Amino acid sequence: MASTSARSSMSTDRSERARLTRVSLSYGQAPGSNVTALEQVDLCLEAGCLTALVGPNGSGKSSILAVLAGRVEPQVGEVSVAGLAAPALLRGRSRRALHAAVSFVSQDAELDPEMGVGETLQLLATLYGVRPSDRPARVARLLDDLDLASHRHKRVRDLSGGLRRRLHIAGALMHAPQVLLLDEPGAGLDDQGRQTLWTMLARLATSGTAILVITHDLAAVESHAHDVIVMEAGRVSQQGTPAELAEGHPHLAAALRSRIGEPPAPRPAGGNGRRGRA
Amino acid sequence: MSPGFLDTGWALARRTWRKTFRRPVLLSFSFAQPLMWMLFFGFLFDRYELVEFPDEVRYVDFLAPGVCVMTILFGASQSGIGWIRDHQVGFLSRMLQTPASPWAMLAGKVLADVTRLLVQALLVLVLALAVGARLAPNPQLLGLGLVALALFAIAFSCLSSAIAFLTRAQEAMAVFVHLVNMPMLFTSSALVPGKQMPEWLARVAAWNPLTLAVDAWRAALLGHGSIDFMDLGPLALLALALFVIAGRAMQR
Repeated sequence: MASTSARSSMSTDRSERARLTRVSLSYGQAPGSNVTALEQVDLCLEAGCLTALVGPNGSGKSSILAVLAGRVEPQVGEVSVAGLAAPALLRGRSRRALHAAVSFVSQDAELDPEMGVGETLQLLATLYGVRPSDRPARVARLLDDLDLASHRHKRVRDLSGGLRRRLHIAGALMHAPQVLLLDEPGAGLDDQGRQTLWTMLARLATSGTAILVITHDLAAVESHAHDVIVMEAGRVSQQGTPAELAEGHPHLAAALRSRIGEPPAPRPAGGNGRRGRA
Repeated sequence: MSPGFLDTGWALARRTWRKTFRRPVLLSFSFAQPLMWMLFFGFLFDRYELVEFPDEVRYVDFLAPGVCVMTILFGASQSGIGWIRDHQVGFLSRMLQTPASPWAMLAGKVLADVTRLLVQALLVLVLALAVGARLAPNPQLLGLGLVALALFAIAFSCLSSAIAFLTRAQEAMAVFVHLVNMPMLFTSSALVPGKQMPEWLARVAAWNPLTLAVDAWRAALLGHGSIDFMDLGPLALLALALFVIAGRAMQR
């Protein structure tokens, strides 16, 4: 089973890297206009674990990433990331320590269109404190990993959306973070790009990185994720390995597929295939 | 390994320089305005009598150092636009998500802007010579004069950056440029000596940082007047204060 093989490839180091404890978050300040984004969310990210965060639009997935990345401070609950409490309130050296431990890949590629591809990664290598002697090799490795080597001398503005996305992801992997947060990293990538991405995420998890990835790519979740968290209306509605969720909840896969906007896969006639079984 | 302050600052400076050189057309536009000031004002006030200067100093000679500092003022007030572009494409946020010091990033960008502005000011001086200005530089004061220009450039690059970080809007920068530059210019000794201003304006001009920079640079280039290290104190304090304000605004 694909998810079993994914789990068997997990790092043996299962130490906790991030935790949300009964976190609630709402947006809006005017009375009566508050929008609840998260309600009583508990979540734990362990080293070497690739966790997929799925659910319909507006279910709170991006809010979880924003809280873990230290971009938003929840009104209720406790947040701990890489041993640092309340990341959104950190300032100065503590905040920089957070950034050294956590990488956040947002939905939008945050790049300077006037800079070159290699130049962008060189700059990020400096800002992440990669030793000068290690920078060329590190940049070359990331360019290779994300199939960007042939675009090294192009300007960012000349790249397609998918290539920009890959460059954005490459920048986030520059410093081998303890915790990697990705918001729909496969969006805009072609099949080969998505395959490269997920293979690389699985490899990073094997090397001990705790990964939380928002995705609508159910096939990739089944193949590569160790754990799945299903969000609904700001709450965690299901959590477990893809196999556990499938076994404990016969209709979960179909329900999951409909929640993340895909049509349910037809059950194979007379069989109980992987997709249908869940 | 955490990134070093100098390493980060140098990386940002190199990035800024590269981006500047990739748009040489924009750079060349920055010389059009000083040239026009020099030609129009220089010849328009050719017979303007400068009471506190020797007879051989003509208005265009007097004007040349003022236009140099004016070039720095106008250029420095655009510094924040680079940060706003970075903010608009998300790259400012990207850089601030690294463990590098924001202070080092700001220092690197300001270093690049200030060196560019100093080179521009020196090229404006060449333009001034080309349109007939005659200078009598005092070699002993040239160093202090350049330090005064650099401190003035740091101060206004930081002010522009602070406005950019606080507003994060290009429109606000345009308002800032128009609201600050012209009043700064006309209440300074860039165009008219302080002693030939109405008394109230002379008092305002004496506190104007542009006057401090212009007077220092003029003393160095015309050999008339004097400056010493202590005269640069207010400019140094202003540059430091605005650097701190910009750095804090960057991390808001």
